Amino acid sequence: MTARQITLDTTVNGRALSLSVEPEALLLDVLRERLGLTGSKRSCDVQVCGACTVLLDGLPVSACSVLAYEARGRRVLTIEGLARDERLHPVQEAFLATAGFQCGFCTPGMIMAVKALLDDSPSATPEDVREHLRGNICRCTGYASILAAVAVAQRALADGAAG
Amino acid sequence: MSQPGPLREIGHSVERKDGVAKVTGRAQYLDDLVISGAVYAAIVRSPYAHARILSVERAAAAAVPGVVAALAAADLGALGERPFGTFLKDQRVLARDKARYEGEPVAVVVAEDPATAARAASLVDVAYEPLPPVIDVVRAREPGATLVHDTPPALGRQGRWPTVPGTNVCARVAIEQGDVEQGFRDADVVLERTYTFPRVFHYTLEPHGAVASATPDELTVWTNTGHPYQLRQELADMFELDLARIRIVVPYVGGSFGGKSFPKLEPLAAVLSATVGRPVKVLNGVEGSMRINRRHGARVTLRVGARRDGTLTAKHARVLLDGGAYADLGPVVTEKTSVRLLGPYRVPHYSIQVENVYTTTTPAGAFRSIGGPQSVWATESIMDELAAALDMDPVELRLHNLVSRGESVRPGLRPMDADLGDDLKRLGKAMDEAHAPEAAGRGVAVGISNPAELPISTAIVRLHYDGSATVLCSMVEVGQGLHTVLAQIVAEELSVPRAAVVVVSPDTRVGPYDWSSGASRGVTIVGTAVQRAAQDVRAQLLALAAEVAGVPAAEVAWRDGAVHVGERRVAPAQVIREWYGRPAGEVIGRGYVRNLGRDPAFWEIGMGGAEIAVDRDTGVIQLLSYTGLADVGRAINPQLCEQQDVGAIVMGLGHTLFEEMAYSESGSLLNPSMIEYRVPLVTDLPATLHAVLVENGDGAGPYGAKGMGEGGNLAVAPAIANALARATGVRIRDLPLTPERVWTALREAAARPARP
Repeated sequence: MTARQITLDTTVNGRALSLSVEPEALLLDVLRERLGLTGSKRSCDVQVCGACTVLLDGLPVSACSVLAYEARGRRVLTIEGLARDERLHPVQEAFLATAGFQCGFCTPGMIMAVKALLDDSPSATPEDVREHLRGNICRCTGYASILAAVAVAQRALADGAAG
Repeated sequence: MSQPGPLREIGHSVERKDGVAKVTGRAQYLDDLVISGAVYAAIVRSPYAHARILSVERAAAAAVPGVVAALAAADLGALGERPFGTFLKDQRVLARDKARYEGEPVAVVVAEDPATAARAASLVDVAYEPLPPVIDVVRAREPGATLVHDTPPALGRQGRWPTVPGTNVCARVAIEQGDVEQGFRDADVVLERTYTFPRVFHYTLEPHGAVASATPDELTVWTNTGHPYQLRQELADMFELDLARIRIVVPYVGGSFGGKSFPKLEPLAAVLSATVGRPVKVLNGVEGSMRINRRHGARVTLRVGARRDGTLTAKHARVLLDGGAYADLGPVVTEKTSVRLLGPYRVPHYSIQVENVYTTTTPAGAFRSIGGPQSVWATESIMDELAAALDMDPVELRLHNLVSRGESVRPGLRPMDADLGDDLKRLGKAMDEAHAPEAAGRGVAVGISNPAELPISTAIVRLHYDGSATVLCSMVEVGQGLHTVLAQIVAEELSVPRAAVVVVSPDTRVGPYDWSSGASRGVTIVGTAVQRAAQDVRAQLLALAAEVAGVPAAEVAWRDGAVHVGERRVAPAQVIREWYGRPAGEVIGRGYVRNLGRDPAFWEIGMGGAEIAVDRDTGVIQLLSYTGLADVGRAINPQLCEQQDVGAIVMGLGHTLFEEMAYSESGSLLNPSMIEYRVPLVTDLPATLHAVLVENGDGAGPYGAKGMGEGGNLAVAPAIANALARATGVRIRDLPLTPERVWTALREAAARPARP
């Protein structure tokens, strides 16, 4: 829109993209507004709630507080990229099994945060899980069914489900 | 017509209908909708808690390329002057003459994109003359206090309680029985205590928002409201349009807890669209939502009397609710608080007066059990204080005074429909099982509330010729699991697979009337409407089958999930195909609910017990175990019931331990973002947390169900404060129980000489 646009070469959900964006554009806005990936949610705007969590080269980040440019040359994974050919990821299946959500607004970010944790440490202890999910707020469930979902996902992944 | 058989669907924790959409990110919420041609609004807010608006300089903003309009109240014509409010018409879409709280919308910039709107909004220059803020409810009630509203507002359509002119009293409700002074003369022990409850913020993860498209003869609003039909009426009044010309569409909603009840940003979006002639999207972020709605703060002064044996003789309560700048649901909160202060006990003499007081703070409205946690905090704290004064066990004192099943709680209301004594004993047993050896103190609390009033709902069930069904109703799925439970009810009644039942999200153009989403009314009231609609489908199927077979109605019957014509079994969808003579058509059932016997439709029972440890060096309360108990009549989906209760309990931990919207003397919100406003995190969970569901099959709803979902947070604060008192001897009467407050109280107690 303005002369100040820069080129962003990045990979989103396995697709290589070259986008013109404003230097100050936030990753969340580019995902939601430009790419139509509205699964990542905007809530607190200050990197506290985790509803906008996406993975940048496998690490969880708050897309509301990351410049889109920081995704240059890196791989972005959003909730939309998690299921393969309509086959849900074991973490998604686990959230379904325990009903680890109510309103669902925190759920995409929560699931991405759990995936990041289990990719990195599949046998995370319950204490590790709680500590890791401190950055993801859920106002509905009281977290119990989310913790149950993590345990279910851990078992499924240990049993060889494709993560 | 029907023969009862074993239930196939009811009582099972089936997978949620909205599950796949929510775990894949495909569920579309308001901000995910694409409304073509929409422009974006940015709100200019008052930096003062109370100020006269002298001028709004908007030319600089209007000149920014991409700006469609920069508007103050004066630019909105009659629509800007028209007040709205379901109970008191005291609010306008933009402040006109004065701003009544910090953050009140004073002007708006509408632009082609949100960034331009936000940039231009910073160029709007408003001149103010600051007025004295009104922050403290006690001072707000003093004679000569600055008035938040200079002239008394008119009653809204549902309004029953006028303001008290010349004061800041927005609503006043008093109830009494017997002779309270005689009751105190009958007492051996009289205690008077004051308890305070903070202003707290809902923090739905999804902020408020609305998109409106107004044409001269029709208004469409896409919104995350919990109350599509209440909103329709407000907008019909404001725009002087027939109800049929107002369309409210509700997509997936990211939580409400009452905070999205009644009009919020929708009137502003609608007026802006009418003004600029384009669809207008108004989203204000979480920090904006902190300037829209919150829970009423409360100051409760209670006096109770009891005989030596523990028998309660009298209760006297004077309550000030902090209602904020506009009434919203405040008058109803006032009325509900008066009843909820009675508690679940036999009290022969009482006098209760509740005043909702205007202050220059964020308006207060509905929040998960209106007036409930505030009332139960006071009534259940004083029960433990009374037990200590009488040297009685707190559970024994409660058991001695609890009303029995069938006994009156208050004349005119439904008699108690639960076995409270049994429930309390059951809670005790569950707490024993959850016992943490390191616990220093244990506390319990018993909450009851009178929810689900105005049980008005309608539903339509359409059975299609392939055996699938569409359910139309207008209560909003805000995450509570309503659509799943309604699908279970339809699947049960019509013997169709649950997967073949689609529950449609509200759109007032197609979905029939429903009063509201709240007050734990979904299963009992909306569930009954849907059940009746499904049963109406069944009745029509029988008539059609008789007509097709040419037999009298007496020869057809519904049995084992199908129509039977004599001995011939006909599947429901086959009846439709046979009657229409081809694979075509459908059967449309309707269900109306206008009352379910006496109000309330059921008493909501929320008990809880906590075990804690206290770090005396830091004042930190460590919650070790928490057990909740809800009487749900019949759990149609036990998993969803448990999750509602656990969610409510953890939400209650917020106002118990850390949540408070803090205001400065000048009326500035001191913690206006989620960095400063602390809600419960996963690390705040106790090691043991569970909910006991009581199922006696005695509710007024389908299959004996009662509503639930609000009760879980009633008992949390008093149970924990009671545990704290037992663990340390220190009684704290102000929430939240922050480490600073606990530490200070422990220090003060240590400095006091021990009582003889």
